[in-house]
Amino acid sequence: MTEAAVDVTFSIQVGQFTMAVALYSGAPIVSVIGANGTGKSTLLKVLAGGQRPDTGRIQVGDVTFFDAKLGLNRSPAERRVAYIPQNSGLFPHMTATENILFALKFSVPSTPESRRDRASDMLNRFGVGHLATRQAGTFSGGERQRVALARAFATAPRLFLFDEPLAGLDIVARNQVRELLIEALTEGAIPACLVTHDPRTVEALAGSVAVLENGGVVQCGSYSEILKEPASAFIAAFFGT
Amino acid sequence: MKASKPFEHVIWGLGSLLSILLVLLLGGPLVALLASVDIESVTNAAQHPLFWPAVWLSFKTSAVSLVLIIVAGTPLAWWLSRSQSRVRRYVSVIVDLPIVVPPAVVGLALLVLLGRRGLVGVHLDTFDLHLAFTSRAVILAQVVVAAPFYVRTATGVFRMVCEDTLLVAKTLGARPLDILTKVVLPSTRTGLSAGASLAWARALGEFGATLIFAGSLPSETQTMPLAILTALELDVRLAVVFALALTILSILSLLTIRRLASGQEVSI
Repeated sequence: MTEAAVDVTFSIQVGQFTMAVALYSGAPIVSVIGANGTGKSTLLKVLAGGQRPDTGRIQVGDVTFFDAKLGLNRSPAERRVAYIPQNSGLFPHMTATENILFALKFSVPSTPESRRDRASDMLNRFGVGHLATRQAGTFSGGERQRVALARAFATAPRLFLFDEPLAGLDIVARNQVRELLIEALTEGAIPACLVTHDPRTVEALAGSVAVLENGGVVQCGSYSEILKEPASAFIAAFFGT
Repeated sequence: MKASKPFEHVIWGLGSLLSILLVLLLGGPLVALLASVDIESVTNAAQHPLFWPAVWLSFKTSAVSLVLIIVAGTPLAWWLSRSQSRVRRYVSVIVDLPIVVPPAVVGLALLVLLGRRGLVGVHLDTFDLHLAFTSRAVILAQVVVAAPFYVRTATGVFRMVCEDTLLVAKTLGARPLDILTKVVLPSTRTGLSAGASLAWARALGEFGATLIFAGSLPSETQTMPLAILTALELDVRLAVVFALALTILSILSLLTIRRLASGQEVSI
């Protein structure tokens, strides 16, 4: 039997909000959709190690991130995930190159020269080589997301976590970032969990789709399965079926 | 219902007048000090035996106080900005207390605690360690009255550091010390320097608590604010020059900190 790319079962209490998630995906890419306040961002934070679940188990490929029964809870660094939050998570006082070098210094053992070369390569790959020496705090929304993608892909993580990577972008930047993201994700065989409100991204990624409602997964399957038999009015409205 | 135009004009006019009066009240005394100084007074003051020891003591003690406040206050402010515990509320109140309590009360409280017959001071006395009426007492008094200004400002600045950005740094493998020194402090340095400036200004101007807890011993515990009082009893012109010197010292301290921490204000 082949191992699931993502196998997640956990419950967590965040203030008054209770989440109980069961998510299993054979496909490496999982698009997470759902209305606002259903726990999508919390799911990513739990996967990244920013919040500890009360119960359950989180398995990505052959690595266990969390197991309540065994008392195992790997630190965010040990999980080797590339997390891109809604604000992109760039360090605004650093330049684009410094942002990537900061990531490479801790995540990829190599010489300073090779790290600098890799940073330059990644910025060029995502079409932001001209921003190398500019402070991240001065970037536009589209530039910020491209540099954040360059930093995420530079570290060769075990799992990508994207929280609405297209949010707040104008239509041109949105299309450009979507293309880059889909190309980079489908090229590599690295699992990814992507929270999105963009049906076109979900369709183009062609992975699994997990639908969150009221802190739980109400439907999980392939894009075509979900499209064929949407389990709720929200899903039908999301895909316009 | 819409206010009539004449009524709006009266409100705006009154507001403008009061604002101008407030600015005059804030700047006027300083202008008056400047206007009442002449070269002869400055020369006399500079040669007065109280002047340079007080300037040096003020600078030295307030600089040491500032270092202590930053070293102890930064981690405290970080904890206050992040902690969800109930204890945080009580600690926060304790930190704010010296702002609302009159400095004279702070000085008396320090004396009751650390004086030779104080609650803790009596034990320190057995180790031949005396704090009250020494330059160490000056520093302690300054730390107590000035620290809240730094801690409050730093707490507010640290609250603006986004949890997501910290989580990103952690996922990238950065250690806590790296996160603090390479992510948090560089992006908050402008705000922290504003807090440090406030604290240093408050320490330089400290009067009441120092007078009660440290006394006003020339060359030992007599800082500039205390020397101004002594000079006022001798000669008003002397006191005016002392006051101007303290003002210049405060402005220089402020500019030094701002210069050291100059950089773009960013929020993460």
